[in-house]
This record gives sequence, structure tokens and C-alpha cells, in this order.
Amino acid sequence: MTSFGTLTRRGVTALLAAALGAGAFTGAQAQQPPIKIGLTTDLTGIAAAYARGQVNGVELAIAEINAAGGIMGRKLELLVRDSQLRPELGTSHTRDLITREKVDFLIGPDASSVGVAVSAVAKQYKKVVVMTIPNTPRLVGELYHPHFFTIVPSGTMLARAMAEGLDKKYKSIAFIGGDYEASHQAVKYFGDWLAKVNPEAKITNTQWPKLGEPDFTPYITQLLSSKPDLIFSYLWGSDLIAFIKQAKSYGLFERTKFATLLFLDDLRALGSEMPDGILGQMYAPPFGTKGGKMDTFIQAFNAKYNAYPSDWAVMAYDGMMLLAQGIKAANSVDQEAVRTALEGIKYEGLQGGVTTFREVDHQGNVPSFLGVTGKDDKLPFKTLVDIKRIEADKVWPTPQEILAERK
Amino acid sequence: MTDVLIQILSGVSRGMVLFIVASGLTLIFGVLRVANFAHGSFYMVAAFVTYTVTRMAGGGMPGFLASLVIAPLCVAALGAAIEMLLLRRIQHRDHFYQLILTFAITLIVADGVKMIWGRDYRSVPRPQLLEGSISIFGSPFPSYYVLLIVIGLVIALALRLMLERTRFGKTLRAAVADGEMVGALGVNVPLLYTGVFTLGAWLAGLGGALAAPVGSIAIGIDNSIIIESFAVVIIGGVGSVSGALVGALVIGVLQAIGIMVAPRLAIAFIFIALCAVLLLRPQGLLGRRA
Repeated sequence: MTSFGTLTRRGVTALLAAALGAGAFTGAQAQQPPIKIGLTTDLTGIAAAYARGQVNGVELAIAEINAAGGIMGRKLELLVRDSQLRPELGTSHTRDLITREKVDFLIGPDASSVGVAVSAVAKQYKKVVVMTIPNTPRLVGELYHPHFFTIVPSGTMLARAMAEGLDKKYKSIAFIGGDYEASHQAVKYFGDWLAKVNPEAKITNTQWPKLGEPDFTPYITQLLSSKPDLIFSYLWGSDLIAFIKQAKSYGLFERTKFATLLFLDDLRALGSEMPDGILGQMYAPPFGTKGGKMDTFIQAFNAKYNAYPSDWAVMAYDGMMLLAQGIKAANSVDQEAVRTALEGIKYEGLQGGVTTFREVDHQGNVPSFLGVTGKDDKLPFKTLVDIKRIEADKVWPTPQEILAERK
Repeated sequence: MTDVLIQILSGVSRGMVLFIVASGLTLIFGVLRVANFAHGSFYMVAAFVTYTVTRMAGGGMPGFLASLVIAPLCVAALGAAIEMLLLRRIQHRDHFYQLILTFAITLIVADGVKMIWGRDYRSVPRPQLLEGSISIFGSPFPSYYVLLIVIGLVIALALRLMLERTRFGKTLRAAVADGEMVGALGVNVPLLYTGVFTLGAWLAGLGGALAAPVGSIAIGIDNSIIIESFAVVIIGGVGSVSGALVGALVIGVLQAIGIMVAPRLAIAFIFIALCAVLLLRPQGLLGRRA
């Protein structure tokens, strides 16, 4: 009896709603359901700050798209899940987004380990996924599938770009990086490329502190004792901050050149404590591109979040805009149609130039940046000056290399 | 040769922070017989409080000194509250429950820190005066580390005097040796327990405040310090402050030398030392046989 009553009430409500709806909107557009975008990312854990930049970037893109009327008269809706830097959660959340929430497309997670998990689910359900942070070479290598697209410079590209961008005068090079897979890969790719572009240079000393090492002093003295011309670091986040602070008091930055992977979050956290003259390699710093769309983006981001955008926000915004352009071009949410549209896309993004995906691995032809730390009066933290933009086609693995990796 | 000396000194300075934290842990372990997992949380909270205090004081020497006073006191208060409101209630239960309780506290504190300070990592600047380095046989050695070594030695001395000369210290040592007997002799055991736990938390807090300007402050520093602190307690001997000093220095110097000799194995050195002690002298280097 109760259930019958409820049903009737529900029926009445539905009728009322339908009547009101028909009265309020006349066009067919109003009934269009939103296009759902699923974002699984690590809102918890050591990479959480990156994930927040990413969510903000995607949100801003979606807000702009919706303000302009959406795509095909449909609004975009973002569903965010926290994978907590745990691949198994990446898998289950992404699967749930696809099967229960019926998301139409996926946009990339945060950590590479979760990226691997998300890519596998996308492969299984044949869903288009655009990656905006993960960059392990395995994603474009052995794990590649046709629905995968990335606009992040891969680990291989970054390590090679570092070797490519270094002055030839550095002959004796020491390395320090966290003792985990990406860092071991980085020194290998770096060394291989160095042998090509600067054959006289040698990696003379390698140090592998554990991730989250609180005290780098023994490593610092050890690095300095080999008297290298340059130290190449693959430390990032809180490890890099701890290292820099401790190395400063040993005079490391006066005694040798220091080149490191660098994220905007690190520049922000260190503030004025960041020494000048460090060679920094960055993915997609907003200050790496002058004028044009980037300025508008920085202003819009600041207006919405009261913060300067990070590399991650830039790539997330571009990833979402690029995906939207693909859906528009396909004029459908059909996975195969959008995949084909993305394969032939010419996207003009925040970083200037035209982003395209190459056939062999769907790697976007995105640049990376090398510069020297210094002060910019407009920013409350150190920035890169003398920025060199290294284009993808200079450093990305050839299709033959990619195919060889997949064997 | 100077390289080796600098390497050893940096190991010693690292060992000193570890000693300050672990001395608190070993006292709690020795007297309350609780393996206090939350000890790392005290360290982490103090580091974050240091961040807030130095920011409010605008960095510099006053902020640094203020944080050295305020952060350990905040954490000591937190420790006292935890002992009186939580630990005391399950004191007579199996040790297993206390383990679970202190572990639960680490999770709660970690989430609390996330809520108050957020998930970003933070950095505390050193005061200008301690930013530079002194020269040891021509090689630079950070002046802040000299300060760490000095403070470590002062704390070691102060703890020793306290344990040997004061009534509280004597009761405390008696409780380490035979807790039941101390109770039977009419000592106010609950008060003693609260006192020791608060002192232990204060020491963890001092360690956190001193370590804050060295590294970065992030969620997770509680885990790394607690593992090393337990290693110190086991190597030195449960309840022995001198043991904690020896254990911390052994770990600090071993790791520094380890990185020099076999960098890939450096992480393993602590655990090799730990295994050696457990096999050859299970009561710890300066511990008493039970």
C-alpha cells in the first residue's frame, strides 16, 4: 500500500515536472542530457597538489565551454573521483564512472602508476582517454591502445630534452634521483641521449635516496666529493625542496651547476628560498609562453581560483579543450568518431603552435621547457628566465623505436 | 679525508634529531610499556606548528626561537590529553589494544593535519644567522647542523641530570626497572605515566621543530621518523636514554658512511644494524636483560 502510494506520488511529480518543463523550455535542446567527462585523479597523497591544479584546469575549460553554449547544444558535466595514488582504486573508480555513471569520455589521472591502470580500463571499454599528467614511456609503448591520447611530454622526451638542452661544456655529470622506476628510466634515457649529443660527457656518480628521504646531507657531500661539472636531479616535490634547502648550506649551488626537473608547485613552495641560476626543466609552465591565449588563461584562472596556474592546470585545460574540439569535429559522442577526429585534430592551445597526435603512439607534439631560475617582479615566487622551448619532434622516440619497445 | 669527516659530521647531526625524538619514544616505551606509534605524529604536528609560527612571526630569529618554544609545548599538551583521555582507559588491557589505539591516533592526527594545514608540502626558512656554513678544514659545514649537534648534546646532558638527580627521574628509572613495584611503594603511577608521556611528546615536538627548517614538511614525515625511531630504541635498548643516543648516532653515521661506500645499499644499513643487534644482543646495546 505504501509503495503504491509512493509510486502514485512520484508519478504525479513526474507529470508536474514534465508539464513545467514543457512550459519553460520550448526547444529540443533543453531535454539534451549533458556530455559526461570522467576524471579519476589522486586528490589524496604526495601528488595531491598536482591533482588539484588539474581539476581546476578541467573545470575552467568546462565552464568556458558551457558558457559558450556547450557542444551540440549539450552541456559538459565533470565527475571527479579520488584514486588516492592507488592503481587499484584508479581501476575501480574509472570502471564505475564508465559502467554506472555512463561517462562519455575520460580525462587523464595524476600519477603514472594510476595512469597505467586508467589506460587499461579505457582500453577494455574502448573509451577515449586524454592524459594530462602521467608520462611513463610505457603508456605510449607496450600499453598503447587506439583510444589513448596524451598531451604530456613522456619521460623519454623529458630526459632527452634535458640532455639536448645542456651546454656541451659540462663533461662530468653526477645524478641524483629517488629510488623508483621513473627515475632509473630517466637516467638511462638521459645517458643514451647524452652519448649522442655530447659524447665526451660522462655520468660519473649516481645517488639513489629513497622517496620521501628527510635528510639528503650524506648524499650532498657524496655528490660534491666527485667534483662534477653539473648535477642532474630527478627529485621533485617535497624531496626536491628538502634537497635544495640542505644543499644551499653546503654551498652546492656555488660549487657546481645544478639541473633539475621542476614543477611550478616547487617554485611556489620554496618562494624566495629558491636559489637563482638553477637549470630547471618544466612540463608546461604558464610563464613559458608569452601573450596570446596563455595570458587570458592566467587571468581567467586567477579570477576563478585566486591562484597562479601550475603546469598541471595548463595541460588539463588544454586536454579538456582539445577533447571538446574533437567531440565538436566528430559532431557526436560516438567513441570511434571522436577517436578519428582526435587523430586528425589541429588544436591551437595555450602554449602556441598547433597540437597534433602522431599515428604510431598518439603522443601529442607538445614542447618542454628549460630555463634558469631567477626573479620576476610580477610573481611572488622565482620563475625561469632565458627559457628554451624544446619541441617534441627533436626528442621524441622515432616510430621505429616505439614499435621496437612494443615487441 | 675531510670528505669522510664531513660525512660523519652530517651523520651525527642527523642522528641528533633522531636521538631527541627517539629518547621520548624510549622513555614512553620503558615506563608505560606502550609502543607509541603516535610518536611520529607528534613530530609531524610540531613541524607544521613550526611552519605556522614562523609564518606568523615573519621568519627570522624571533620566529625560529618562538617556534622552538611553542611547537613542543603544543605537542606536549596534545600528548598529555591523549594519555589522560585515551591511553589511561585501556592501560590494563592487553598490549595489543594499545598498539591499535596508538596506530588509530596516527591516522586521526594525519587527517587532522590535512584538514588544518592542507595537503601541500611546506617549507620553513632558517634564520639568516644560521643560513650559512662554517669551514672545517676548508670544507663547508652548515652552521644549522652545528646547532643541531649542540642542542642534541644539551638535551642528552639535561635528560641524564634529570634522570639521576631529580625525584621524578629516579621514580622514572625505577618504573622502567619494575613498574609494579613502584606502584606498590605508593608512587602515584597515573601521574607518573602522564608526566612521562608528556615529556616524551615534548621531545618528539622539539625534534619536529628542529627538523622543520632542514627538510620539507609534508604529510608522511610521521611514518619515516617513527620507523627510524623504533630502530633507535631497539638498537639502544628499551627505556635507556644513553642507549637512544648511541643508537641514533649509530644509525646516523652508518647511513652517512653507507652512502659513501655503497650508495645503492645505504637504505639497508640501518636494518642490517638492527638485525645484528637483535641477533647478538637482543636487549639492545645499553639495555638491561629482562
